[in-house]
Amino acid sequence: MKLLTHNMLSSKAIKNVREGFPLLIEARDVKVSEAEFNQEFIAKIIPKVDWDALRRAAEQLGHLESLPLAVPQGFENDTDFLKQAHHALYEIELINGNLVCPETGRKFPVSDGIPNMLLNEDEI
Amino acid sequence: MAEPLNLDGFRGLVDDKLCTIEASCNTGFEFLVLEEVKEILGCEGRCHRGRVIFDINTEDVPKTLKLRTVNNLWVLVGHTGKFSYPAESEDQLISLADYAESLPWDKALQVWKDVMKFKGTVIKEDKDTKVDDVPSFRCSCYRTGSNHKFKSSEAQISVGGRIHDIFGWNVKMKDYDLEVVMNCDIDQVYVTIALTNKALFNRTLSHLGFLCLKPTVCACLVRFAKIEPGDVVLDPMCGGGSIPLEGSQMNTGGYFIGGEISAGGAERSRKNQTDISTLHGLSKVPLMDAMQWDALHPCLRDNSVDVIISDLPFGKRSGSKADNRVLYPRTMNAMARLVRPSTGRAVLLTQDKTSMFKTFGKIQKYWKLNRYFGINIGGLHGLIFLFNRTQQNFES
Repeated sequence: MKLLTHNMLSSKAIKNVREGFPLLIEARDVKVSEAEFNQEFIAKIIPKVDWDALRRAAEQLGHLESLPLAVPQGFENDTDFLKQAHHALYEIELINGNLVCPETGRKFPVSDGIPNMLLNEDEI
Repeated sequence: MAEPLNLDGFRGLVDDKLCTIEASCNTGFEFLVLEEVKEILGCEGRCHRGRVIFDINTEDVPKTLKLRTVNNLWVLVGHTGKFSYPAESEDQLISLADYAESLPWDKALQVWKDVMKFKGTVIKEDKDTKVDDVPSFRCSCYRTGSNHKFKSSEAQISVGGRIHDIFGWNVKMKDYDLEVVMNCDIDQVYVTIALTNKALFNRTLSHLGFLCLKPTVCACLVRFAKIEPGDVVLDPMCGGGSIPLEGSQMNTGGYFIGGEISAGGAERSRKNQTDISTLHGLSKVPLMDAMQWDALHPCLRDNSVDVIISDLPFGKRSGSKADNRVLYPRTMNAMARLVRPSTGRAVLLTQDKTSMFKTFGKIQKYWKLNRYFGINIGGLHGLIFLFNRTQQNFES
């Protein structure tokens, strides 16, 4: 599971959960891969990313590295920044672990890169 | 094969620097193939039923293999709009063989050789010397019309025999190197050489699941959705992940997510994902993710998705039409929370027309029908629907 996906996941579908975002990450196995960098593509996705949540997630995966605190002004042309964003969003994958609902503590297992977001009868 | 080709303005049969190419697709998708041919190859095509015809520079023919919406490709060797069939069946067969023999084969054969990367000898310098590395070939005949006094199989033998005589290639009905195709209509006859011995859609799905969509059909759906850079594209019932897998290889700038209720499906998605890298020698992972979920209780944030692309259960091999009456509107209403108002859209493929038509009224608060068109999908009549997300914010 890539961090861009995590940035969109929410446990809001559970009854009585207000936001359910961001899900906390308990990481057991993490993998770093290589994904094709395209400046235009990454620049367009940045506005859709919750940057704080991304940083927290990268930290929980043990890969915060030098990810900037915030999205800089004029980020569209800041290749260095975009490369770092690209690395965090696409290249660090959670392989095994759990995603935890911040409001209910409910754990969603992630195995072999696939999160299991199926809810139980009493949660819907 | 039913309607004659209109080759007006195409010069591939008269100009050595050009080749005329026939590209096939699932019927209904021709307009998307036309678009891809223009965008990827810079060529202006013309649509026919199930096919697009276009001219391309001879040296660029190998680039046609990059087309993702196309099933098969042929290069034209010759065409006549008015073939005069003799009266007797035996004579008809001979006249077809004569016609094939009269055509200029050199350019098309060189093109075949380049595309297939064939290392042997295609045209022998001396007709009578025995050469070991000639290609194996077969001749196929597709026939329409009731005025022919021969069967397709007889034409194959007659023309194939003549080709063997001219070129000295060995006949092989299966696992051949080169396929010559005779297309015989009521008046028209045209001859082509296949540039694909295996259809182009045999490229992605190494872990074939129970019900999977051909990569070329997936490519057509993705193209129809007009993905922009930065778009988040979701298939909420992705099965083995055919749509996200294909989409993430198409350089659209979109990020593809697949959700699937069955554990097997999600796992297959993941396996297919890692296999793509191996299969295509890519060191880089495709930009997609798969997860296990129930599309009716989706675990994504509000307004996080730009485009939905999905192959809905047809209700034949999976589920039932009665289930679809409930499933379709419930799914679309669940997706309404996820999809950005105004700019969001959904491209949906289904064969269950009735359930879909009955769904419109139940989802109109959030989804407005833009258009739909018919396609042929594995012999079934499918429909592709495009919905636009209304301005209405989601209210639970």
